[in-house]
Amino acid sequence: MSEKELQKKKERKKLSLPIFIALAAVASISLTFFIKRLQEKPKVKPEADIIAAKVEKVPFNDPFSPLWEKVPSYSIPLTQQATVKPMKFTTPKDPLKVKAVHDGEWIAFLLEWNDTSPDIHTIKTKEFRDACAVLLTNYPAPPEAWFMGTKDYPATILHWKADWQMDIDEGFQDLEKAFPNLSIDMYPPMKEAIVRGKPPPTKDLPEEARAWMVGWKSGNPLSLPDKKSPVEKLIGIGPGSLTPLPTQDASGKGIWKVGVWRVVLSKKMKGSDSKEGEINLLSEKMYSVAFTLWSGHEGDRGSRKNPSMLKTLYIE
Amino acid sequence: MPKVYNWQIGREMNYWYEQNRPKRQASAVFDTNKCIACQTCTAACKTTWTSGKGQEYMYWNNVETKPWGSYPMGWDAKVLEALGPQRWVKKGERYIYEGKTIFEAAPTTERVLGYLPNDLDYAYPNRGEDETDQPLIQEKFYLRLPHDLWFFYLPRICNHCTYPACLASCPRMAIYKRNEDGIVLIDQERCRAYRECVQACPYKKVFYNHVTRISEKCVMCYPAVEKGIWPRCMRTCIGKIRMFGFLNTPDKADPENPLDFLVHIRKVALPLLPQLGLEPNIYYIPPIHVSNNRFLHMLFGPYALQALESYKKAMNGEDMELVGALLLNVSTDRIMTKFKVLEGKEVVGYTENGHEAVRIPIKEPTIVRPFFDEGLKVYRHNIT
Ligand code: SF4
Ligand code: SF4
Repeated sequence: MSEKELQKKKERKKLSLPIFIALAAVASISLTFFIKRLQEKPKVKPEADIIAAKVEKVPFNDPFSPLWEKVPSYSIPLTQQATVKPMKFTTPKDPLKVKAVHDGEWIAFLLEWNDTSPDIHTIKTKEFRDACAVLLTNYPAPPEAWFMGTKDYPATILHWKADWQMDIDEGFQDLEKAFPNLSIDMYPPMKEAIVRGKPPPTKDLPEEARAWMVGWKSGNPLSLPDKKSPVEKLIGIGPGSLTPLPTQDASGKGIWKVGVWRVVLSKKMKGSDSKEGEINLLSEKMYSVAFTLWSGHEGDRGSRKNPSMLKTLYIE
Repeated sequence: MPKVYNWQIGREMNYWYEQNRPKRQASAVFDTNKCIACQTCTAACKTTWTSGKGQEYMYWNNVETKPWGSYPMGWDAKVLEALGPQRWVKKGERYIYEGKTIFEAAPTTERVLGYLPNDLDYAYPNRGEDETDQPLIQEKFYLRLPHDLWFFYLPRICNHCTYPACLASCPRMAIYKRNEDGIVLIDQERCRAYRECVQACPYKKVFYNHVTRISEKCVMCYPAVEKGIWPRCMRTCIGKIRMFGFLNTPDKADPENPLDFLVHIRKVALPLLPQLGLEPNIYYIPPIHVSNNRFLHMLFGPYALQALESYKKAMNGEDMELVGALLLNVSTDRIMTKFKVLEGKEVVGYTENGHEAVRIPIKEPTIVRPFFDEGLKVYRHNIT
């Protein structure tokens, strides 16, 4: 071996040691990471029927916000209500389209369904409204929770009503709307007040004349002419138990356009009435959810409705 | 469905809830023979309870002319037609209803057989009064009626039924029957306007308020009843056709209680359409001049002719106790729970605490004055 060759061999030896050390270090760090990854829960979204996508700001009163186009749409089949009498045996042809978003403070659902004839009044005896609802309860809910919740799984229900939407958009839909030729002599005790038989708007009736409007007097939310939101927030612990919650802070809006209802229903994620059983919703958690439609011209109301089955909702 | 006993149809029947009779039952007897359709009762109720905006069309008390009148239009014909055959069978002295009640005839999806009236159905509350169903027929020298020459007035309020269809139909349980007096009320805070009750009540005595958008019904003037006072439609009755009180079941009938006496002892007053199965608590003395017995049988059940026999005895002066009981009609506005006929001369009514509420001579004393008054030197037209 020449002196040159000996020199080269020495240099190669000098180089291979740090490479080996470097490789060993990389391998040991990778192994640590690998072991650590094995110990941690993997961060994958659990399987859910509906995922409420995280957005910057929830469009809680806008069913036509461009934001809705960016989130996935879920097709939810609706079924008959054949459990509690009175029942409804017929079902809508098409499934309900549902989208959901949240911004950490509010959660909103967009419900969309076909309806060729919007039913927006409940003034006459045979008039029933179009309506839709979202039922939320803790996961995994027992099957009975589907019927408006149970004692252990109270259901928070967001209920949008087409007639309330009209009251808000166009002002209280008064008696004269349904009976335009109405003429009246007097409503006691205000006999002087009725000019040419045309009654004053309900909202302007004096306190004394409201004595005959017992629903309004007793504070029944259905009877109040001054509606604040088209979405009512209710709690249920079983069939027939539906009760409005004290803080009515749910929001939303429904618009009917060319044969389609698009309705947003939204609520605060942290329930303002959690003492009364309202649900608190957290990010990265799973919940049980159900959706329901009422079709006014089919005489739907109360238990005459088309609900979905209980579904899972994951909040991103 | 649980089984309950309905004495008016003489058998057990299916009902949505278990049998739960109130401690006592507010009830009334209406004598159709004396009603003059003055509508004072209607106005008394209207001004008290239904003068608000949204209640214009409502008559918790209405008086309709039978056979042509009905409010809402055709309520009775519609429900009877939907119900199908209504057969009563005589077993011994009693009649048993063998047809179906509106609970038993309910379609699969429903709790009760019913229908929702249209707004126009409420638009003719006085149709049929002194009217014919078709134009008069022109004979050679006179005009002839196109039907039998009889009609009568039927005042109607909520029957505060023992088995209310309104209560059974409400999926929210917003309708309740008070244990203290059997009055049926709608909780105005809980009602969510499903109108199941409007649909279910065969007598159509639940109404939808167009403005408050919830349902309302007759409250039997419960604030008055709680104070021992008659409801307003009853105490203002011009024709004195009404008797208000509390009614026991036939097995507990008290002959001194004026209501029990009329309904259970003399059996002179009958429920309206008992075959529907609600055990209604307003009872009617059938009209004596209606020549169509089948019509009476349909409206008041199989005991209609028997009730008339009983009534005619009183009219002929053969039953002074019954005359006495009938004289208590609208004689006071205080609720009487006992009555006595004293030596066939006077009838006395007592309140619950035993106080005398009213005393009436059975026969009004008559003084006949001379046709020619000697003192004044005048002739009298009216001598009694
Ligand atoms: S008459 Fe009608 S409203 Fe009255 S208690 Fe009976 S079912 Fe109910
Ligand atoms: S007040 Fe009496 S007599 Fe007059 S219509 Fe009414 S029930 Fe008949």
